[in-house]
Amino acid sequence: MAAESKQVAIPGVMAGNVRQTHRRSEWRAGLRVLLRNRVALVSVIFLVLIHLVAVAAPLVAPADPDFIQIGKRFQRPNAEFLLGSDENGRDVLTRLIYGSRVSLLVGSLSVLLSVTIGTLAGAVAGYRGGVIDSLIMRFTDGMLTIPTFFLVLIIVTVFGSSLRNIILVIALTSWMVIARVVRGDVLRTVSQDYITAARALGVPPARLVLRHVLPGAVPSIIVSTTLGVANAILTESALSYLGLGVQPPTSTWGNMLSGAQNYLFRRPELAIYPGVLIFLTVLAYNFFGDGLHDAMDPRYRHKG
Amino acid sequence: MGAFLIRRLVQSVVLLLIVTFLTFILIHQAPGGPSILLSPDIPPNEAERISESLGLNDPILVQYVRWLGGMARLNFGNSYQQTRPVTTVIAQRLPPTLILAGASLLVALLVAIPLGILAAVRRNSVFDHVATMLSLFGVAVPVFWYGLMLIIICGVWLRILPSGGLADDPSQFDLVDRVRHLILPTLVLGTTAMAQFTRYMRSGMVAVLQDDYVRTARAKGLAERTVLLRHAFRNALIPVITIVGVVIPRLIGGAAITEKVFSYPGMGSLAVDSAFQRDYPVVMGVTLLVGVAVIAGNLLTDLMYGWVDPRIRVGEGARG
Repeated sequence: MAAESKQVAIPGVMAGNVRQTHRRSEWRAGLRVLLRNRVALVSVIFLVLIHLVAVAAPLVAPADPDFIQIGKRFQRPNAEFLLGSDENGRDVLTRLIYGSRVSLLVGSLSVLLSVTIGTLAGAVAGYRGGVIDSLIMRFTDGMLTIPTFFLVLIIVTVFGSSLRNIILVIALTSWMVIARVVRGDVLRTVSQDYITAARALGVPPARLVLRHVLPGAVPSIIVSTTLGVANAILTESALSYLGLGVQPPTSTWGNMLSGAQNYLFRRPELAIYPGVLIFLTVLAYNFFGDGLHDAMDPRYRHKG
Repeated sequence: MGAFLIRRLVQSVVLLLIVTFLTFILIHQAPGGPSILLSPDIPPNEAERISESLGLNDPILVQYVRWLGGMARLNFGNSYQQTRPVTTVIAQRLPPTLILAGASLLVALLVAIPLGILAAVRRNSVFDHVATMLSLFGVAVPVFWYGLMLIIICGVWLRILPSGGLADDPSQFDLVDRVRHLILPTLVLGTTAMAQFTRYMRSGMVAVLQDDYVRTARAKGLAERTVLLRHAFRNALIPVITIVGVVIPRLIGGAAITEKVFSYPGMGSLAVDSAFQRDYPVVMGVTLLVGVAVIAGNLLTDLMYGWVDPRIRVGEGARG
């Protein structure tokens, strides 16, 4: 009996080793493709920079973001105000730097949450199958058909627009695509021989899913994450713009834009800066996501 | 087909019940009642009396069942804020939204379909890269900012188009004025829809062009034009139809931002305003309408599949 189980175990272990090294070289090949993709590389550098600036805002920003100087409203760019001052005489550059904190925080936290929910739902649905699968997937489909921004609007209007609410609401309305993708990957993985082998060896289900099934879904999860951050940043800035985001005087890119809207004729550039930053950040996340997609998909590797 | 329609009808009714029930609970449980009751002009005991007469003090389930009962008799109730029937309020806001949604959809499809096909046919050419850039712009640009930029360029610098403020009084109808007010919002909504359509059209076409039947069609000497338009195009259209079905309800219910930027009197701004004012009957009316739009969009999509590809028979297949 003991000898028999040993014999079964040996090929399993070997397969495991082969897979480990295989996976490592997969990652390395992927990294090579990513580095060769110039647009993706520039995007990554831009994203790293903008995150560093957001974290180090008090050190980098030239002034106090909420310091009002009514006597110095609407200054043109000069030595004191590098990008000029706004309708309350506050430093625009400083407010842009502090504004990045809200956007990036909402982007990363809400996506962290939605990826967790989506992965969990997708993994459970795909692995358990049957009634549980159809219940979870019908619910996912239902959520997908509701126009999410409409839902987000109603919830935020009704429950108030604290940072916590905004993060929660974005997370709860954006996990569905990830759930579908993960479910698909899990279904594909579960039917493979090494999973049957692991199951035959008596690996407990939770461990089986975490160690053997989910790693197969990691590439799609990572790609959905980058695209999710981009969408979360757009949603947050739209809410801020409608006055349903983090409230002034705290600056966000969205509420700076809605503030600037009243002075379009006088100082259009006040509306241009925050929009350009949102646009570039979202674009960079999209390029990064596309680059990751190509890097992780073996079919694309030989073309780059 | 008949069985399919009946099953879809039952599914739709269940979906509508769930969505309206959740919305009903959500807005009624929210802190702060209807803003009309909080007005300083109304003494507290009067507010209490109104609240009682509107049935707002009853248990939430009773209120929901009462609302459902009204629905059954096609009675949507009266708006708290405007003291007019909800149907009148919505009937006034729906046409501008439908016109805007229709115009944007038309513009988006007219641009995206040729763009996507050409980009796929001349893959990796300069044209393809430009098309990809255009659609990435549409995906990544914040809608409200794009709208503001158009206002700055066309309304402030060039002064050729109004920056917003379409009159929502139907008696002052002026076609030229309407159209002028429609151009910029259409451009904004159309660009974002166009971006998605182009992506799907291109990738669908790229996939189909590698199929054997396309090679066969070319091998038997058909003109390239015929191969592309008669053979490849129809099959490549399927993913585009799916995404159009997703976009339509969004245009009807979710154009809130665009409407706000151009102060355009449509459904989106009505939804936001009524949620703010806790105008329960209007919120419920809008929710129901958006729900119906979603269902109609899905049904239309499924029927379109069958029209584009006769092999797809509606009502059969794995879509449980």
